[in-house]
Amino acid sequence: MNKPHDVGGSDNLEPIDQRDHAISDWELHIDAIRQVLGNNGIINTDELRRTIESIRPDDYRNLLYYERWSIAIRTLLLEKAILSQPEIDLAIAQIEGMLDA
Amino acid sequence: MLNASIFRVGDRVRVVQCIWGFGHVRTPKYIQNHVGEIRRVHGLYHNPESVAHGRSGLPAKMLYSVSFQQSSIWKDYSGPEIDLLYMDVFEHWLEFA
Amino acid sequence: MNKTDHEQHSPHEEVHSQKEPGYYSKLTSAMEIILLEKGIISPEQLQAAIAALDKRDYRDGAKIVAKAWTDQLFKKALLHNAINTVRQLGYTPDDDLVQLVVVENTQFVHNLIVCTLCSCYPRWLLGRPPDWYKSLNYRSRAVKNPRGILKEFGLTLPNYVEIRVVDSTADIRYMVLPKRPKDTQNWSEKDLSKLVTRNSLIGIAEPLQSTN
Repeated sequence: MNKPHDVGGSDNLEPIDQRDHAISDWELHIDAIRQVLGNNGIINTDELRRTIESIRPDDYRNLLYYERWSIAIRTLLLEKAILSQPEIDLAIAQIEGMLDA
Repeated sequence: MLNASIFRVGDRVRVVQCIWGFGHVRTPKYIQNHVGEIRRVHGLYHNPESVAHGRSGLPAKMLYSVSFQQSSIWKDYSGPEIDLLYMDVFEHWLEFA
Repeated sequence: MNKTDHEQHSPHEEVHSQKEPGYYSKLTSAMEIILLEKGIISPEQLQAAIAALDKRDYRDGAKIVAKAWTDQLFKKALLHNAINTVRQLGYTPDDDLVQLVVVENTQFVHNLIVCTLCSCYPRWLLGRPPDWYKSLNYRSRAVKNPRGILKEFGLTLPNYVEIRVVDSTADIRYMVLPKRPKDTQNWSEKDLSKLVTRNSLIGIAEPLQSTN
């Protein structure tokens, strides 16, 4: 049963990394996008949790926190047909084009 | 509003086991089937299980703060008997124990 | 409970943990560009959200604690109905449906907050949660071995102190009201608030002492 998020009580022997990492620009942006989409009634917190929870278990465990959010927000926006995958692919290609230039 | 709640502060309750396994729920596996005590009646909240699918979450469900003895949840709990775990649980996940 | 199937993964579904790290930055930019172009979010809204997120840290929570330490009526109101009490001070959650409960640490009870299922945290009062709070490690172990985790963070509590782990599973957000440090009787709220650390508001540490 795929519940990668339901971790309470799981075994985990590593000591906790107590350091804070400074938030990068894109992480701040994805957090802000989530906030605005919520305020505008496009997505809600429970929907976002649902899509985060549906991430493949290996990905869920290996990805960083905001990486999971970015995938989950994409999944949700695709589900609601607010964005399409071709649009996203094109935008990413354009961004990569600009970065390479 | 308090009259609408099935459970009262002090009631012994059991968290039911989830048999479906699908969909978005907010009751962790580790607490299912365990017995605790109602500590607070929080009031009515939209049901996250249906809000997660874009629905309204109505009719709202009663939400409770429930306490559990740690030594009864975990077989190898290393702390003293007085240690507790508190969790917010919806009414439809609880039954009288 | 719905039987909607979200757990099937097609063999063609991309495996994200194999993507190069810069991918998520590009994905975020791509979504942002499209959302702005389509008018689903506005540049002003985005800028305002970024500014608010950047600005917020735990200091609002610290001020509330300092007030509770010096004003018994306020403290009573805070413990009874935190959301309305802090609303009166001008602190409103970003999401209307979210509530607040403040739990008090005493000589005999110590609260520790966690969200095992995700990372629920009173962000409108404390800003973003620390990385360790969001880690799978903390989420797995805090409920099962709170004393071990507190020890890792440098706090050992005697066995006569009841440790209460609060797992934030619903729309209630929790904040700890730490014990007031000794020898601070005549301190101002402003000076008291400086003793309140972010970690003490989660319950993973005590506040700073007056001698610090």
